[in-house]
Order: sequence, then C-alpha cells, then structure tokens
Amino acid sequence: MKSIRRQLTFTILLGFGLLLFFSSAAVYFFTRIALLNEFDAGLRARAANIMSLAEQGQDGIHVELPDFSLPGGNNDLTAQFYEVWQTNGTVCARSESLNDGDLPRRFSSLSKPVVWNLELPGGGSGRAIGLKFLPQAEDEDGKHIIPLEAVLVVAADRRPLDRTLETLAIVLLATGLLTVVITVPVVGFSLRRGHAPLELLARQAAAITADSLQLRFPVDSMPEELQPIAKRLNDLLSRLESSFERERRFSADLAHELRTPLAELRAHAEVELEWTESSESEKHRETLDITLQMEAMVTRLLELARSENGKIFPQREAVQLMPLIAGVWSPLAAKAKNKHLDVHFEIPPDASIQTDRTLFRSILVNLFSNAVEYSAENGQVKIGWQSDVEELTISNTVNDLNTDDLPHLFERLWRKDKSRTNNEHCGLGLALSREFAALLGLNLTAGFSSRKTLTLAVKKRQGADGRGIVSAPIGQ
Amino acid sequence: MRVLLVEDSLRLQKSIGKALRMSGYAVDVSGDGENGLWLAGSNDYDAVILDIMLPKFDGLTLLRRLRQKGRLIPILLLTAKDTIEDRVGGLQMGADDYLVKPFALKELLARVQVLCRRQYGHKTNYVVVADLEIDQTAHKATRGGQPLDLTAREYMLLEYLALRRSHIVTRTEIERHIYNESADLMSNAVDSAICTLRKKLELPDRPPLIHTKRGLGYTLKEPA
Repeated sequence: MKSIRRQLTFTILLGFGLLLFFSSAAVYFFTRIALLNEFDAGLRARAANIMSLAEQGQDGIHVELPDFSLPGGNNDLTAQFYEVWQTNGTVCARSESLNDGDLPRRFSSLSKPVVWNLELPGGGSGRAIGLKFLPQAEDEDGKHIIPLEAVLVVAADRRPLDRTLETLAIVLLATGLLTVVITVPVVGFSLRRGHAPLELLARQAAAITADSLQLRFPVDSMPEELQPIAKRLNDLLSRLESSFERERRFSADLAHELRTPLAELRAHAEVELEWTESSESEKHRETLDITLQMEAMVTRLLELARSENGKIFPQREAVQLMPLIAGVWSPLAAKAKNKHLDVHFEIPPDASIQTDRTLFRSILVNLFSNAVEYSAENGQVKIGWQSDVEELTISNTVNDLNTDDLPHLFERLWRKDKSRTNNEHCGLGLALSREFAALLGLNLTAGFSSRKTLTLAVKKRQGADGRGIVSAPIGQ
Repeated sequence: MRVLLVEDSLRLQKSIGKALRMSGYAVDVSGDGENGLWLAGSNDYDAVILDIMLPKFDGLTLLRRLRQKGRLIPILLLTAKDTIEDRVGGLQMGADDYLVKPFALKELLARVQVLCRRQYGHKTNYVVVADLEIDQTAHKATRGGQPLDLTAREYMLLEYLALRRSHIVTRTEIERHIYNESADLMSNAVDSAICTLRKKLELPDRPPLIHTKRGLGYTLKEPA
C-alpha cells in the first residue's frame, strides 16, 4: 500500500544521499586536481632548478649539483629522481637515488612538458615530468658552442599525495555514512512529527462509522494545510448525521405513527369478529390478518430503528442452546412436517451460550422460520453447532436462490420474488437478525455449502469483546 | 363493573367501548385528559383505561393528579409508546398495568378483568358464595349447579355483590359501579334490578343469598 510518509522518506533520503555522494565526489575530485597541480608545480620547479644547473660545455652537457651538505643546499633534490640525457640518448646526469638505473625517457617541449605517473625505481608510485630544453652554454675561451638540446625527466614519490587523497576519501566516506546514519532517523522523526496531524486525521476519519457521525475533527488544533480538509469533512459529517438522523427518525416516527391506526384496525376487526354475524366473519378475519401482518412489519421496523439508534442494551446470561432451539423450532415443526422436510439437529446436549436470551432467540426465530419457509418441498434443514469454532449453522435446500442473491439477502425489504406475492414475510427478518447479531458481538453470514444448500452461520465476531457465543459444558 | 376509557381516537373509543360493553362492563368514554380527570374524580370506577397522548393534558398528567388526590383506581395505560423507559415511567408514576398499541383485544379485556378483580382482593376468575358460582371469564353464573339466565346488567349486579360479599352495598355504590354516566336511572332502578335478581337466584329448599339491610343497602352472603 502506498504511504506518503514512506514515499517522502525514501525520496528525501535518496535525494540527500545522491547530493551527499556527488558533493563528496566533487570535493574529492577537485581536491585531487588541486593537489596534483600543486605536485606537478613542485615537479616543474624542481625541473627548472635542474635546468638552471645544466650547462653545455665543449665536451657535452653537465649538471653540477651544489653541495647539498652546505647550508642553503637543496636537500629536497636528494630525495627525488632526475635524469638528463642528450638528445642522442647519452646520459648526462642522474640522481643518486636512481642507483645507475634509468627513468623512462618521455618528454615533450619545454612549454608543454609531459607529466605522467610511473613506478619508481626501487618501488613505489611516483609522478614524473619530462621535457626538452636547451642548457646554458659555457662560453669558455670565447669559443662558440653549438647548442645541444637535452632531455630532462624529474620524478617524485607521490605516495604522500596518495595517502593524503586516501585520508580525504576516508574522511568524506565516513562523514557521508555518519550523515546518512544520522539523517535516516532525523528524517523519519521529522516526517512522523510533520505527518502526525495528517495521521490523526486519517485515524479519526477511519474511526467514523454510521454510529459515530456526531464526531467532529478538531479544526483549530490542526495545521493550516489540513484545516480546509477538516472543515470540509466536518461539513460533510454534519450533513451525513442530519441525513442519517432524519432517516432513522423517519423510520421510527413512521412505525410509531402507524401503531394507532393499526390498533384501530385490529380492534375493529377483533370486535366485529367476536360480536357480529358469522356471514361477515370471513371478511373480518382477512382484515385482522392484514392488520397482524402490518403490525409485524411495523414492529420489526421499530426494532431496526432502535437497534441502529443504540437503544437496545443486551443483557447477557448463560443460555442452554438445545432447549432454546427446541423451543424456537416447536411452532415451526408442523409446517416443516407438512412440507415433508428432513430436519436434523446436530447440537451437543451440553452446549451453552453467553448471550442475551431475547435477542438471540429473535435471531433464531427469524433464521428457523426462513429455513422452513424457503426450503423446497421434501428438502432438508440442518441446524448444527460447532463447539470448536463456536458457530451455529442453519442449512436448508433452496430452489430459487443462487450466489448472485447472497449480497441482497440482508437488505431490508429485499425479496427474490419481484412480484412480492408472499405476504407472510416482508423481507426484514434477516436485516433485523444481522443487526441483533452485531449487538451481541456476532457475525451473521450467508453462503452456499453446495449448489442447492444455503447456509446461514452465526459466529462470534473476530475482535469482539468476547461476550458473544461461548461453548461450555453446563454446570461448569 | 364500571370502566372509564380515556382515548382520543374515536375509532378506538368505539371498538374498545363495544368490546367492554359486550363483555359486561359499564363503560364511560372520554376523549381528552381534562374530561377524563373530571370523570375519574367524580365516579367510582373499577378500572381506567388511559391513553398517554391526549388533548388538553396527557394521560401521565391525569394519572399523577389522580394519585395526588388519593384516588387509587386501577389504571391501565394503553399507548403506542413501547420503550422500556416509557413502560417503567408509566408504572412508576402509579399505573397498574401497561399495554402497547396495537394490542390483542382479548389481552386488553383480560387485563381489565384482572384489574377489576384485584380491586376486591380476588386472585381467580371464579367467585363462589355458598352454592353460587360465578365464572368471570365466561360471564356465567350457576346456583346449585343450575345455570342462571341473566341479562348483562343482572350479571354485573350479581358479580358486584358477590365480589363484595358479606359487605353492605349501598344503592349509590350499585348505581356507580353498574350503570354508566349516560344511563337514565329511575329512582327505583336498583331496587327493581335486585328484585329481579333475587327471583332468578331462588331455588326450592335453598335459602336466599341476597339480603336487604333497611336504610343501608343490600348484602350477598352465605346463609348462617
């Protein structure tokens, strides 16, 4: 799942890391260039020194080094390497450090000497400069000397330079790593702190359900960037709350308002049925049946409205399952027999539940009644309790339901039969059962255990407060 | 038995009134709280059926004022308000019973009967005085095993006297409990009714059950 904080952390750390890497590389690179330039300048200076000491005599080119032991002598030269050749390859001079060895004879013009790295005689890396020059002619006895070009290669040990560069690289690397190590938690902390209001907003928004629409976001304590969002959400919540409240009030008010006319109709029908001539009694019986049906619907609508408004408070107690199920099934047994239903109960005799007896009974009444009503003739009904998973299942064979109908089963007033011919059921029983199940911390679900067998399952909800169904031997 | 019905729905007044009358009750009907309070305060009813939502002032106010006056008539609240809070509130205010609309007529009649019975300290629907037996559920009476052919008014009179057996019942009390507000009573209506009832209770070799206490009233009691 995408996370703004994770994404920002990653981007910032990546950007910072790249910036750090490139800046460190630039520092190293430019320092290296500067140090090499300085080193090369030193080589050039030494070369110039030697060139100034080179003289051409009648017998060739000589380099007379000063007595380095004297004060003011250039001791530095002793630690260096140089070699001077005539252009024909004759060695004119070389440093003692070469021990009669030779330096590579690479050179270029005086103005653009060639500089390169090399392996020093005796080991170690060095750097050398090679150039061609005209030594100073000794004008002894006034004789004219034909100038001869000489080749000079001066080399120096570059290991101190390399060590300096290595140290610089290590310092840069260590600094970079330390910076990254410090930056990761700092960035994480900053983003977490910066996102705290956003996360709080998200948590509060996630906690809002149809039952908590009265909640509002604390606009004043939010950062200004989030205030417009919180204000809009608060407006939306207000409208939703009003709308929900209106809907609930409407259901409850409607159901309540219907009670008096229903009472009038029922009382009228019952009085006429009891104290009028028998020829009229059939009509009054029908009136009474219609009234009772409407009364059942109104009662269920009211129960639904009350359940949604949090006005039903479960009173939990230990309830033995088998007697309860038998009691609920008893009035349905005759109808099941008439439909030739094959009925099986798989309830352990010692199973019990910790629940609200009235609400749980109401759930069972709805589920059992549906199972009998909607089972096909000669079908099967199975009611079972699984102690290990604490689940009550009611399965029955059906003819006209399929998996496409499952999402609609718990909708209010939904009926498979679009003509809505069956007046015995109004389509509120399962919706009400699910509401009651939720109140008891139970989940009521529907599924097909086979192509023609619908199974409704009542099971303790994951993460419920544990006060739903429990199985325990009676007497413990 | 005489019952007051305080209900603003004309249809319910008609239906419940008819059911009560057909069940042998004398019924007075009121459509608002003010009139209902006046009737309840000025007549001796055996029970009051009281709606809560009423014009002028509601049924709970009527109930409170009646109890404040010390009137202990059994009252059944009949209302569309069905929450636990409503029921508990009504009962705590002094109602004796509570029935939610819509209701089964038989249940209403049974509850009214229980309230009336409770007035006279009876716990069953059978009243027995010597060889006289009264079935309050079936509204039938027998003496010595022989069924008595009584009109509704005669049955009411016998039932009232039997419920107050061994007590002297005045003519006024009989008028108040047997006849409703609209009954056009002649001065000797009670005496005439008692006379008729005596004749119907007469059996050869059996002592009379109804006795006249001159200047006081009547009493129904077992022979000494």
